Amino acid sequence: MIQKKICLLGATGVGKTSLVKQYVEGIFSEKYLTSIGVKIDKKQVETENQTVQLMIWDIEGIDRYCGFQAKYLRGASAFIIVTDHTRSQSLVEGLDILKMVKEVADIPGVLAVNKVDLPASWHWSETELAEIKQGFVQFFNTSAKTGDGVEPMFTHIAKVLTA
Amino acid sequence: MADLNEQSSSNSDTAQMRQIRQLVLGEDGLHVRQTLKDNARELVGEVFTEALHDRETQDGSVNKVLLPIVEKSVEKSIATNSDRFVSYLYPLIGSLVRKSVTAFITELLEKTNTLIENSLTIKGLTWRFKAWQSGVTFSQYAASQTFAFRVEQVFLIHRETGLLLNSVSLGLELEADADMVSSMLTAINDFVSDSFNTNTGKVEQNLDVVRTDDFTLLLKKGPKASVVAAITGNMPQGVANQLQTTLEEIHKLYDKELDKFDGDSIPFNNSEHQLRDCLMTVLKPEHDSSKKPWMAWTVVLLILLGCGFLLVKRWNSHELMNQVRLIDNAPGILLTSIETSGLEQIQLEVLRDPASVSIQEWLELNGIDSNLVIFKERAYLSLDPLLIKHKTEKIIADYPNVKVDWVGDFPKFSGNVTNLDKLLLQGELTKLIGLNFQTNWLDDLIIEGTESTASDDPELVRAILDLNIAKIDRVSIAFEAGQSDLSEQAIEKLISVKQQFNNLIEVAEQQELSLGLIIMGASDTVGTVSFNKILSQKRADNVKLKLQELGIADSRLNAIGLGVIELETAKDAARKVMFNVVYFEGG
Repeated sequence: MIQKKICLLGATGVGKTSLVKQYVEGIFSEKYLTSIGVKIDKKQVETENQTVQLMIWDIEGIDRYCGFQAKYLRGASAFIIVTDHTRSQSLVEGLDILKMVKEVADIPGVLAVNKVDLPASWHWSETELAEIKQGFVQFFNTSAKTGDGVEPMFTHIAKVLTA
Repeated sequence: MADLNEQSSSNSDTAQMRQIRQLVLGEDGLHVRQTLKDNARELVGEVFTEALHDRETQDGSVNKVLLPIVEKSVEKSIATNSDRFVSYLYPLIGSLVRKSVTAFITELLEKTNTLIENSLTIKGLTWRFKAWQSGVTFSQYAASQTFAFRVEQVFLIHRETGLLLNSVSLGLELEADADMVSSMLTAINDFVSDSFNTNTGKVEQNLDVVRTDDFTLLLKKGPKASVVAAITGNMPQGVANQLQTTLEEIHKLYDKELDKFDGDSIPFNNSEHQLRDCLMTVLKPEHDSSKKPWMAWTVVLLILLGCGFLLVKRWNSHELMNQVRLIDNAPGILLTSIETSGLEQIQLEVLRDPASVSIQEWLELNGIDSNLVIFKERAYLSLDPLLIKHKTEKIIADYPNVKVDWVGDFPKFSGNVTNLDKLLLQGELTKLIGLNFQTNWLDDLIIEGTESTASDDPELVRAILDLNIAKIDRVSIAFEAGQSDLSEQAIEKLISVKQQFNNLIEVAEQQELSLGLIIMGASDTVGTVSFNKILSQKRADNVKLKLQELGIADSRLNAIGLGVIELETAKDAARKVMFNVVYFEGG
């Protein structure tokens, strides 16, 4: 069985932890996020020809005042940047994070636009969004509440990584 | 100039040498390699076994490399030629099964034995209690007590990704979710490394040992992989050394695989052999059992001896008490209290009729050491039939010709007596309280001598007189509380008294005696003294009046009011009239 390390990134409060909570198998409490800044869960994903075990490093919310623990990205095969479409700022911060990641690692990234169960209230035009999506290999509309888009996102990552 | 020449000549020498070398050895030693290649089989074949042996003795790496290859070949061979293997193994299977069943049963017996030993010994029970106290399972606690240290689990972790390459464990329930633990350990290491990085050097900080109350995590980092061991107990340096050796070995053997690692851990499956070397276990030394606590044993022994002595004493005194208790059965002795006094003495309190056997005597009769019994006795009058018999027999002992036979509690007297003796005997028996003498008991006595002489004998007449006086003296008339009227019963009694008294007058006059009857009235304590005085007088007067009516001369009667009879024992019996017959010479 193939194992891959992937990192879950995003601004504070975009719902990274909630997004994977129902979906993954974990043994560590959320306390780890605030104490050492990371919590690890795992998820086995079946692709067409094999099973991939994703080790998901859920990294503490990043904002402009808080440093980015680049070391946690070491050895990662892919990353997900989670944003919240009810907050414009979350995408700005997501783009900052993308820039920082690109500086230290050349790995595929996926954009997750979260909280789609709520109406969108950010001020980004479709053109702007289309341009932003260019920086990622794929983007997904997700909802931690309904679980929409979560499974397809991880399955896509598994496919990309084993292709 | 000369120098220059020298230098150019040496340069041309070197170039020439290179040319010669090229000619002989060929380009890049091609000729030599070609020659070696041609004879490779021969050359390697000559030293192959020795080389394998030498390398194996040197670091044991041959075995580790060959083992997975051999295992795989056998596996493949069995998979493809299973029929052939079955036919090879068929004859062996029977004995193999027998052997394995025997081994299984032996192991089961041993395990059961150990279980029983661990469960039923004091040590086992103590462990169970302590395990319960500290909230771990018995097996965990037993392991922690049995092993000085034990490597429970070993992880091989890819340095860069933190992904788990392989793990081995002792198969206990402690086995954690190895892949998540290894990633988390990597994260923690990164956290520590970043948080406490000194700016002075570029050297990365790494976790080396993580200790908890029960566990030690030992981390050894190599350039491409890390080995982590989870250890219980006190970890000696040897474990760290073994981890280091294993890590180096793995780096040597799996160098390329580590470099090319893309998340597939299958190439590292064979590293299990190296990792197993790290699962070290050392038993705790048994405590020196030859050292025995003599002092404590002596104290325990003394206490036991003391207890034994006290028990024996207590038992003896208990036995003695049971023996002494039987004194209650002796006629005329009433046991009121019995208790132990001190270690072995008995304290006894009894009521004893003076006619019965003495306590001292009773103890001697029953073989009891009288020093062991302290007794206190008070006298009382016993109505015990046995004692009455005893008293009766004592009386007739004075009359050698009289014999007594007992029909139940009633005596029957027989034998020869004089008239006087009969009267005297009758008198004594009448006075014996509890016998309730009846005159017919004496009917079987044969009187010696004649009636005439008897009536002439003044002593005999006086005896008869005394006897009849005693009869009247014993009569009493009872009254209701506060009353002085005579009942029918009382009147009947008075008629009998009148007859007896008139008979006596006759006899008394023969003897020249003047006879009188004193009538004494009495009352109980209820009421005032003066009232009772009057009441008692009234009672006596009424009786006197009645006797007068019946025909006794007034001159012979004297009624006296005694007032209250202040005797606790009297109670209701105090309400009565009593008689006293008196006589005077010269009537």
